[in-house]
Amino acid sequence: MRILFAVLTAAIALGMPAVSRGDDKVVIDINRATERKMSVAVPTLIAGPGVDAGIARKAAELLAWDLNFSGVFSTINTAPWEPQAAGETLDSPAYKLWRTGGAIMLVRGTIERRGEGYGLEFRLYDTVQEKVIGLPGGAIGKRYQVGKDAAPAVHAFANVIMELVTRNSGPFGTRIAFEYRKPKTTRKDLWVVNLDGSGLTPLTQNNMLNLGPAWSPDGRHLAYTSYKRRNPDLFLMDLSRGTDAVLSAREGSNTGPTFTPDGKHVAAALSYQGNSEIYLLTLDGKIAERLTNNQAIDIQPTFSPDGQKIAFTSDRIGNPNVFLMDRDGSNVQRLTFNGKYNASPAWSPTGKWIAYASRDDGNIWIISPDGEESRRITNGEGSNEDPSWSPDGRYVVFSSNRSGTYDLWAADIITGTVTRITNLPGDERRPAWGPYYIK
Amino acid sequence: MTRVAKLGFVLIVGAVMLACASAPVDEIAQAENALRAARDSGARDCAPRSFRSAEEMMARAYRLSDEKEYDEAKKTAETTRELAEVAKNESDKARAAGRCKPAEVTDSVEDDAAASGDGARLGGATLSEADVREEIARIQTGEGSLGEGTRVTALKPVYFNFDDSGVSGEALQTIQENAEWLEQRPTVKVQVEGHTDERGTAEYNLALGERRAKAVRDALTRLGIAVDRISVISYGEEAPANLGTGEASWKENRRAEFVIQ
Repeated sequence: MRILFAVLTAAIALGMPAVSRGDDKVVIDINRATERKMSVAVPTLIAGPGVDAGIARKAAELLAWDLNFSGVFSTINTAPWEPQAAGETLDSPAYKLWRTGGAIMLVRGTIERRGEGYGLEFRLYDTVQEKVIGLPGGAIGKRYQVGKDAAPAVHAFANVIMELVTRNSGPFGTRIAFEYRKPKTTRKDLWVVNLDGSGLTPLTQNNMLNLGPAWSPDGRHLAYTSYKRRNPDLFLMDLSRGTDAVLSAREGSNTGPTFTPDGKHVAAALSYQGNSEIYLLTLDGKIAERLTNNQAIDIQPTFSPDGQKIAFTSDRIGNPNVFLMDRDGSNVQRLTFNGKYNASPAWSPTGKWIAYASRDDGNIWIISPDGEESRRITNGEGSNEDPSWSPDGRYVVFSSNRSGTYDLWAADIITGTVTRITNLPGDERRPAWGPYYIK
Repeated sequence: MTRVAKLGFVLIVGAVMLACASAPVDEIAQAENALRAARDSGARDCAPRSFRSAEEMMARAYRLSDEKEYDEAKKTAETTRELAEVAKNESDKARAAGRCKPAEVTDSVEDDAAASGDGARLGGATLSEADVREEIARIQTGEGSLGEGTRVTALKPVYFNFDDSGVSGEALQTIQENAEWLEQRPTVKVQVEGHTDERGTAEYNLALGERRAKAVRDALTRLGIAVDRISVISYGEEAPANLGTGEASWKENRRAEFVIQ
């Protein structure tokens, strides 16, 4: 079997640079799995006149967070070395200093006041070969203009670095919507958080039950279930306008929405015809198609990225398992066979995997759509549920009670690196990873 | 037989036929129904004399009918019905006043209810809307899961096994008791809330909770409660009765609850 998941080579261990230069192109061997991560130094940004030192430091810390999250990099503690690096410029990085500090790569950035906001510039260096590393597209650095918050520039550069080393942009700058239940209550509101854990914001505040958010592909809408009209109904929230419309308030349950990849329809489970069946709805709430017709519970549709296949949960064999069907509801096949209780399928944006939660062992698993390959991506700590993919298809966010209450965690499916995203009092459940909003 | 005698016989037969050509089936059926209603209300114990008279009158009506004394049979059946209604009224009044507790009721639902030993139960009799309102205020224990409606002690939760929506044994008995309470209070409408424990996937649990609520609704309608008096809603795992974790909490959470609307 080919190694499906590539990470950077263990070249570091051999005393060679992980990054080598071809003619004028960086070539990185990402086809050899390793547990070794690339060590990188991310010192405080060089601050121009009038820029608060705290902002420069925070920007570096945020970039370090992103790189550590990636599973590809491990940042060194720059504090002991920074005094000696004073006077460093983008054109004269202190290669030897950072190499001595244990970093084979260095990210140097500057931040200057520009208008009401900031201008930032970043470069990536190879401390072993003592060279600036060419970025995708051939540039040696990236410049950004931002408002009062430098974070979008930091995340954009983190994605550039990810694209360089994995050929896919990273997940940085994205947001995650989720259900939040405060301690000792039975009500839930929907909240949103930046991947780095900042920017916690409530999206609903009606003191009811608001459940199961799903993003539209353009990131402008959220479909979700709410009991605010005393029944589990589907609503469509317009995030830019802050408005809300009923999507389906049919008798019985209206739950588990997911957008089609083209954003033109929502598939959801409705029970108005007797028991939970999967339907395709237009965005103004009309039934476009009924996709299942079965005495069993049929729920949790999720589309393949080409929109041609749907994975869903059904208990038609007596207990819940993940099944596949064609877009029109035909050609139903069972996908999961391990244990007695497999649910919450999520089709990856790359199309290669379907993540799901196994109740038997409390883990998140990924399985190929042909069912031939399957891997566990959590290690059995606590109960792990509700997987949702990052837009680049490399990470899975999920809820886990490994620390006592349910929080959101994310796993790199390649290296297995797990990072905590939220740590609120009470329970954070059913994360939905949003699309990019910074291009 | 002479011609005259023959004619006389024909006339007599004809006269009988004109008076009542056949057995008074409708009257006998009405008498039977009234007698059954009286028996169901506990009249055998709570209005014994009237009830016994009605039973004797019923037997006489059958005897007359067998003897083809159809006119007499019809009158006797009508009297039986009146007596049975009197017996039922007496019985209802005696029980409402707490003066009588029937030892025997006929229907199986009511057998179970009687066995549970609540003397306030009224069998087939119904309470007025005002009485029911007053009673609900007295026995309420809280609100529905989203703060609407009223939970009362008289409508007990129905419990389920893990990943199961079957109602049998203890669950069915609880439903029967609740059905009897509802039968006596025809103005009451309820919402059956389906709930699950926290294990498993929330979305699946929502569907499972709905299955449980519908299983309870179906059982109630089989026991004679009008379907338009029962609405269902599922909260899945979202509104636990017990916020703890472990089987002791979970079994309290796998339930259907009744909320008066």
